[in-house]
Amino acid sequence: MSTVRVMWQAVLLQLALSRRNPEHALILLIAPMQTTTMLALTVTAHRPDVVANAVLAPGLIGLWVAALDYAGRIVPEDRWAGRLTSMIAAPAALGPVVAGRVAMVVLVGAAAFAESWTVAALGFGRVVTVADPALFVVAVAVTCFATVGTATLLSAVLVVSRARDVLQNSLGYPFYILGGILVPVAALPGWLHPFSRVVFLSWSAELLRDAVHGDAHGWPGSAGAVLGLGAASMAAGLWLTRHYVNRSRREGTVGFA
Amino acid sequence: MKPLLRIVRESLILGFAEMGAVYTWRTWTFGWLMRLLCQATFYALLGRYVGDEATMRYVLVGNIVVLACMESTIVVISLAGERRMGTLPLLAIAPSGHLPVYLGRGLQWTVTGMTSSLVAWIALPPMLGVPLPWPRAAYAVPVVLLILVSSYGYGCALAGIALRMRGVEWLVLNVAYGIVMTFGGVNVPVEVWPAPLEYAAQALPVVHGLDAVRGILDGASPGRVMRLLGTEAVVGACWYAVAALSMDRLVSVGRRDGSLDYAG
Repeated sequence: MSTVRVMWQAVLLQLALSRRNPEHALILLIAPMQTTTMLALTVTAHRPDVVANAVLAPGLIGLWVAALDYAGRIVPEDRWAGRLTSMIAAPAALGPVVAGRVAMVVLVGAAAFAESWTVAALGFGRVVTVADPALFVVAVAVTCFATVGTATLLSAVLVVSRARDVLQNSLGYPFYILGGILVPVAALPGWLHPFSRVVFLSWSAELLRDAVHGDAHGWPGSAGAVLGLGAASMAAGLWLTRHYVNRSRREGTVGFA
Repeated sequence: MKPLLRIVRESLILGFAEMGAVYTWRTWTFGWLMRLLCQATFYALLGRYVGDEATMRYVLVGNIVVLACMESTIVVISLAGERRMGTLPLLAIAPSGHLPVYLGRGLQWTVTGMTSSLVAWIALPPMLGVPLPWPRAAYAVPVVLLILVSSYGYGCALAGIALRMRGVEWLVLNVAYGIVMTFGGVNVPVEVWPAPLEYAAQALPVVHGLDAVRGILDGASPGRVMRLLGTEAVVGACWYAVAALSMDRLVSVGRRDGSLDYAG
């Protein structure tokens, strides 16, 4: 079975599982409230120039939550449900299966962009128009790719780590700040900038905002950075997943929590 | 009184033992607590970005106080966990009655909630360059405690939903907390919302207590602060009444049709 076909089957599997699990819709419930909070603050401060930030940020949070919360649960839940043993015994490698399922979850997370736009338009009468639609599509696409890569890595890290719950609970807001998803990186203290630049969200947020404002100088560099960071995370995630599977096989711990 | 204190003690021991399975004091401090501090900082930075230092302080104060609400509403997860594990009937047959035992199931979150809020109250304002007026800021600490207590009642009441439906506890928790965060005067005054929303927000925990905290910081009259505290206490009591009614009904129906063991 080709890798793409494996990933597609994994997407279908995740779709079937998510339909039975209402918690997978969590981000779609949170995003409108986050948009409302951020927009209320922006609108009452009379800062129309920051409306786009407040609309885009919940979308980026949606992607990150999808990567961190749901993707991180994939392998532990498979193990708990007794699926992992047969998945590891199958001829297809586990890495592409995880990546395919993560892609499905990320797609749901990306729907938060549409939700936040709708909340801004209907709830606040602020219709955010995209000055450079082509660039916006590119920005969303590379951001989704980087999220899938990051989620594949996070999924592997969370499986290997003994502190899965701690990491899942802790890795949200620090990355929202570092990623400059609401307040641009330039407005953060200087000593944070190098750390921000290794978080793909920082490049994605700028790219998306630039696309909305039609102010996209040097976008290929930003898009390249998002793609590069996403690809590096994906490669590391697939390697770590393979390493984990091999170790579990060797030590006979596939079926243990 | 003595049996009640014993239930509180045992609930805390059980709760912290559960927490110990997930956190060590190091991972709690550098993981969870750091996350909460970053959450308050995240919104405070937006306040500074769109406004001035006064806006930042307003948002920061709201987000620090609301941490107490956020943590205490995690009782939803603890109670739903009893349902998932099938231990709800065991708690229901406790000699003291089901109510104190059920209401005590998330007490550990009130301790951590108070700790998180306190640490943030002391550390974040000076770190972000908007120091609070001490020693006046110290008077706000008992108010945060009151907010914590009323929010815990809110969490217990909403746990009734999570106890009746399978797999929705995280949805209930996040929506419950999200509603307070959005409409409870945390980031923008409640008056900003349309009249029906503003009216409905009066029934939320935090709203009046947070107003009292802001009043204390701004030097409001003791009479106004006491009125706000009284309203917060009444709102909290109402949520406890809802929780008690909800749990009574859950247990009585569960006893009758045998549905208390697992979510239907």
